[in-house]
Amino acid sequence: MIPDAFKKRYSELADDSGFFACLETILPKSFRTNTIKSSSLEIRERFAGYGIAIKQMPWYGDAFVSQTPEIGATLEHFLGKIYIQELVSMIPALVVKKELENASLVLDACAAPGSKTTQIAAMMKNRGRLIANDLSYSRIKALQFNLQKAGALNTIITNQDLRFFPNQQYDVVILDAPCSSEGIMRKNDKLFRTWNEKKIYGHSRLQKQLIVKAFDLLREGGVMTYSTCTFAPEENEEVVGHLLSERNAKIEKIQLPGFKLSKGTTEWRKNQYPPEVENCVRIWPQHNDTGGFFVAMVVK
Amino acid sequence: MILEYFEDRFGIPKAHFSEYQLYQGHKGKYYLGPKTIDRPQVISPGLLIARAEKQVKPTSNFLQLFGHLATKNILELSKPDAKRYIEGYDLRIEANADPGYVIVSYSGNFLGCAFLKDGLMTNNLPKAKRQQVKYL
Ligand SMILES: C[S@@+](CC[C@H](N)C(=O)[O-])C[C@H]1O[C@@H](n2cnc3c(N)ncnc32)[C@H](O)[C@@H]1O
Repeated sequence: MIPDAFKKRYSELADDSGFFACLETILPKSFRTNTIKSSSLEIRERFAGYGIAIKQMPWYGDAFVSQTPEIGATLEHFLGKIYIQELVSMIPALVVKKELENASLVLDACAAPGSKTTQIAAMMKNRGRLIANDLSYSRIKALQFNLQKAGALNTIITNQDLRFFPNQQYDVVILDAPCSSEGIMRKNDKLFRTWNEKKIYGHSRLQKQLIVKAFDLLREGGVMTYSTCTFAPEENEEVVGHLLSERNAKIEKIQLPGFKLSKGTTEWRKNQYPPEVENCVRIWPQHNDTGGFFVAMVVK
Repeated sequence: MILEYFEDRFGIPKAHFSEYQLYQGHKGKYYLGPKTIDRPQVISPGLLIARAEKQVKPTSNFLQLFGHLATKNILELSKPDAKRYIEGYDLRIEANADPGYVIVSYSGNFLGCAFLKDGLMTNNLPKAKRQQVKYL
């Protein structure tokens, strides 16, 4: 059950009648081809051989959706040729794909359990250096398992608080921040029971520190993504606005032909955010039948 | 010595890894990773490829990735045996192979590591990798 306070909070922002209804439906299963070990052509052929229907996404040829809950019970899953991942979670790496292909030093700042790290390692073709960092040691275990299974050779795992991370200049930084996770409620409806606004404010404070630090780790001309799986503007546009007030950052437009994106909001509960935050994208679950998500692409 | 062993035992050419660097970690762990690390407090530098205590034991993750480069000591399983291997079982095998570590394969797929001796294939898949497969 969606809490009333949640409905009240978002009824205006979500500006679309399908939002709350969509949150109560089950998320379709999705996965990504691990191009370190396979190709999407091979995956299509093999799944066709099993008689499992899968649908390739027009906006990302390595992304698939399936109505069959058993994609985890395939040889391809065992072999790490596919990685089960939410569609929206594939977007941050996708928007900087070209930069990743040419990068020699990349930081995945909050990496565990590694959905994005494994995708980034593959986009880098296992070359260069990818630092996968996370604060939580218990989550590092899962990160390690997933990276080994994916066959990542270029990835170095570290276990530090990003706020105290050693200074180095990265070509690309991926900051997939800890957040209140409102956007994954379709997958885990327990989150509705523990949802409250206080959590949002706590996350927002930490995110503002993380985004400035992540930006400082970027080389001049480097590119960064900031993402969350939550709807709260305090954790999204407000955090990006904070970066803009502290540093000389530029917010790039994001385009993803074949996938519906909404622009960032410049107003929320009497607060005004800088006009550039309109270049950030919000992903509302009802538009593409996905989880909820927010992405900003930042250039230094 | 690790890469030489892979070349010697499986015919996986050492030269294939010239872009990468071998690192030794704790407890006889060997990793294949990027050429430079240049930072302290690293949890793991690349892919764990072997553990070497008394003898060199390749990891299943390494063999899945590079098994296609091997020319020998490959153990080809039937479909029902491949399924049981992935589930974690040891198998009785009629095989004419050198005793020691082998690369387990099924229909062109490299599944992982096993130890073969006296007709018994001991399963070396880590517990966390074992699973049920319905489609193969
Ligand atoms: C949204 S999750 C990351 C998910 C991951 N990027 C993926 O796609 O699989 C956020 C992560 O941030 C980590 N984290 C929280 N505070 C941190 C900090 N101060 N420094 C580094 N990591 C932190 C958490 O442990 C958590 O794993």
